[in-house]
Amino acid sequence: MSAMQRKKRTEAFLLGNEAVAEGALLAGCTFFAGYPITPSTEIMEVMARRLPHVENGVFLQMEDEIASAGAIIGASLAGRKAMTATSGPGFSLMQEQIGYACMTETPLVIVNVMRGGSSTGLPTSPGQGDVQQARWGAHGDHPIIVFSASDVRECLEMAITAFNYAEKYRTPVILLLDEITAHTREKIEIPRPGEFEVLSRLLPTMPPEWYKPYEETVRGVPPMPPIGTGYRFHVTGLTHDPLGFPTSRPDEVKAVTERMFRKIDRFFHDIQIVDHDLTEDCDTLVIAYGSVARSARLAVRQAREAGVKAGLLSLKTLFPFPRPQVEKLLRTCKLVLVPEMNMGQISREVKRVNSGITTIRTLNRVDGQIITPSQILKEIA
Amino acid sequence: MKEQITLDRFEIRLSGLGGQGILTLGKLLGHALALGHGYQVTQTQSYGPEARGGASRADLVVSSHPISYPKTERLDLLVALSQEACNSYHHLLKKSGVLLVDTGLVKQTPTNVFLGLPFTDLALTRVKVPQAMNTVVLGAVTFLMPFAKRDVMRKSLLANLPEKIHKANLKAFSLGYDQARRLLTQPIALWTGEDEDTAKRGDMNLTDIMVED
Repeated sequence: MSAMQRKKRTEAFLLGNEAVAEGALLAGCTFFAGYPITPSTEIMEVMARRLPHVENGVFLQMEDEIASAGAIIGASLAGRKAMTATSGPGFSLMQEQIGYACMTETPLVIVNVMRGGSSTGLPTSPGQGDVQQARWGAHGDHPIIVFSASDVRECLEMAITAFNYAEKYRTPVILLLDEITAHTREKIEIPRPGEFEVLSRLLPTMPPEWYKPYEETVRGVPPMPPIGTGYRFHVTGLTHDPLGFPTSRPDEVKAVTERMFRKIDRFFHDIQIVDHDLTEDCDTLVIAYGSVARSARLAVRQAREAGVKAGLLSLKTLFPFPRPQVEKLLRTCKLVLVPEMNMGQISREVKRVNSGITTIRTLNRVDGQIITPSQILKEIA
Repeated sequence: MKEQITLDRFEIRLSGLGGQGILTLGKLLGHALALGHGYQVTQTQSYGPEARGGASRADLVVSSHPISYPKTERLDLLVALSQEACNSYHHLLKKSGVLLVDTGLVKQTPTNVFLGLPFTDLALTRVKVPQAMNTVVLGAVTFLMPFAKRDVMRKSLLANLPEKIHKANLKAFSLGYDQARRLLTQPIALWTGEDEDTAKRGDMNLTDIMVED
């Protein structure tokens, strides 16, 4: 491995979308099923070009987004690392399948490149309106992980991270981008294999006849064999017992539901990823994510030049909402601004955590344009 | 030979109509400046939901330092390949910024301070490939930007285009560069002098910037 590391890394000039696809391939994704939709299409295009050259790589164009989500669930159960990519309208169609994947604890990565507006909305313009849908779009109580990325390098990193966490926690992971992040080209270094961690799901070590698919484990994440390797198990969206068969026995229902939450809740410290920028001594804080975090980074610099002690907390993990990191800064800041390209979806979470500690101000823009650094600067300086 | 120049947010907008190859031009230019010249570059784009026609533009921010905000705020160079693009974006230029237009397509410029070449006409009559218009622009822009190197641009052009159109595009590129050298202002005279807009960025008129992006 050391010989490989000494080799020069490849520099490339990539779109955010292309970087997501590169990240997925580096993380070991061998299955992509999707239906093209602006502004996510370039992810699918790269996968269509590249997967046929990957060992056992499969690329499928499906008839719609419902089928796409179904296909990647099947592929994942068969042992593949699988992904699909879509935008708002397609993401809505996928919700039922996302719930099924949560219930069956199937690792998946679903990329949603957010466009403006509801329904067909603004296909070529940015928005951040799917944040709460990513958390609560599927019905019923379910834990889920939602990541975001603000620049091209982060697109690659968070795609790898999304696969790692999907595998580690046996859960669907949503990667939420916005049109600007997805359609910005930047120079990045593509890391070489061995320079980053790649995680894979735990396989059962017991003989097939002893295997219980949804058995309690120390971490709360049961091992998962690929279908067709001798381990027989039943997969259902109905609430199931440790053997995977439907149950309505209150003690079994309670146990499986609570374990599904516990496997995520106990590892919040691992899952909640944030970036601190000038927050050590700040009294004015901006909390942002996606492309808006880049505007905020410039605004915070400009505010510092104007004598304001400003700082930026950019969220890479949106859900589970990084409460500890946010709460700590709320206690030391006199003003917190949450700029978003929606009518206030992460600001709801910030206000929930805040419960009266400090002043929260929102900055919402829903005209299909990015929030500019000047707009943010005006609010904090 | 041009020297490596330290840049702090040099902002470029390429604008015109869908079908003129503006997004390709943005990609080519960004690729060359990022990988060939070694600058930090963000290239963003904006286009309508239509398959063709409609307004189209590509924006680039070029800097020697990491770039936070990826879009443009105040332009150093505006390339306008349609009358509408020129009308819409001219006000975003810095005082010291440069307006470059296609003189065949932009009949009325809002200022007498501009540079222009008949790009579309040149591609049609001299290269005989109308689609190579964007490469003629690339040639001219390469001459105009004090930090852009001709050979590096050429290399990036070849790396990004399929081989069967290499010849026409090299011809278009050289044509654009030479026409600019013969007919337009020396690059060294451009982009000099204190920029008033940057100096008082703090009290910039916010509504101005919010109109676009």
